[in-house]
Amino acid sequence: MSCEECPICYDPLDAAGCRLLDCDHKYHLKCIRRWHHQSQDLKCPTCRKPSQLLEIMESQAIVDLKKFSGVNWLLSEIAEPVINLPGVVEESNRSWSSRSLECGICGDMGPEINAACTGCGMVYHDRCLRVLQLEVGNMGSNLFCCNCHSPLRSSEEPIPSASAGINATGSSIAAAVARVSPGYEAVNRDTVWYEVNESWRLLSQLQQESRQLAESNHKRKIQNHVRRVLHLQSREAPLGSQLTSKDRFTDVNKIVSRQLYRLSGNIYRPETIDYDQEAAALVLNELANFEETSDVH
Amino acid sequence: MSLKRITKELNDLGRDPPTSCSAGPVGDDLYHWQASIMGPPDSPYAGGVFFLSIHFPTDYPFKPPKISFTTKIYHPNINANGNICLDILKDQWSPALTISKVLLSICSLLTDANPDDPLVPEIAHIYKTDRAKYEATAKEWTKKYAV
Repeated sequence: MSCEECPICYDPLDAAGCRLLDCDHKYHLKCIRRWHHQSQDLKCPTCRKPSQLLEIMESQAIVDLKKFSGVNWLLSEIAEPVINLPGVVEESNRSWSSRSLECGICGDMGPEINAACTGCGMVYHDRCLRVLQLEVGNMGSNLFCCNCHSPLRSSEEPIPSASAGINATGSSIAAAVARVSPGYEAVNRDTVWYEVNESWRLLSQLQQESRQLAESNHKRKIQNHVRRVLHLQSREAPLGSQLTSKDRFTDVNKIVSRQLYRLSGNIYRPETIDYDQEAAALVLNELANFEETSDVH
Repeated sequence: MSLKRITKELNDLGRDPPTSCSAGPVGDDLYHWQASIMGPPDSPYAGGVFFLSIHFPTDYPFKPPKISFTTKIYHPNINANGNICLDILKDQWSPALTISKVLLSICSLLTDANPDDPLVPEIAHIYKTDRAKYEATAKEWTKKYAV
């Protein structure tokens, strides 16, 4: 038998392969589903024909793609019959990516979301979970997903690797799926892994961006103080004369800003630190040191 | 996934190179390629060799490659910066497309311009109203910049 390749990643199609029933084109499940997520439609990349049904080659399970939209599909297939969830199924036509970044309790989106379910991929604010825990009076309930009761993971923890992801998320969910709809078992190990990992990727990307933004804000504010002090100092003889050279000015600016940033524990806190005073001391120190070393030469 | 796929496309291009185009990495960076297209014989670009730069996004093939002409060319769908107005490089991108297929599409865009969806409206206007003038200017530019 010839070894067919997936037209998306060019790797051989193996047991993870699937077939779009309307056009017969074959892909890896994770490749075609990633493309469907991105294109927001169900068209075949090769012939552009929309396909509603997909067959998993290994298990020959048929999947209805209209019902199969990320976590919503999982929730309606697994969670609804098991725990009966109000409000989840009505949302099934909303896309996964926007849904995945909304707190499951307050519904707000944003980078401060910091907990995610290892089972269904739902995300939460830690503070919302704590408030809920107090309300229901069930200590430890903030460690589990409100939807599927799988353990939650703080988003500070590293993203699970491919194989760890399958083990962490797949086994409990796959067992639940097998009970509810046996035909879908083969789909779920792959799909759950993909959906959850994808939500992790988005979440950590968003967090990293917001962290970088906050960091650069702190740096900028600290540097403003340093620059102000440098301008004042450059008019003071004799040490200030060093600062008339543009290179030296930039060097001192860099050195002192870095020292001050480290000194304040990487956070701008004007209420506890007098930045002008600290900057002036550090600048004078740096200028004097430089003078000394040049005297030696 | 992207690096593996780009490497495989490069190997395929080496094994079965398309007529009239070529492409390959500029240096060690596999995400940045250079390509060349021979002006199609049945077009005013005949005899010219046009260079293009290709940048692959890190999520290739789920996002299209960024392709632009580095050789100046007189064409209703290609502007002064070399940007190309071609649907498959934008909303009609599909991960089943390859660099080789995209370059062939650009070749046919050179033969058959699409003046109804122009990037340079002035050239599109001349193309529609005075075809001889368009062909003369395109030939002149080819001679000047691409030979």
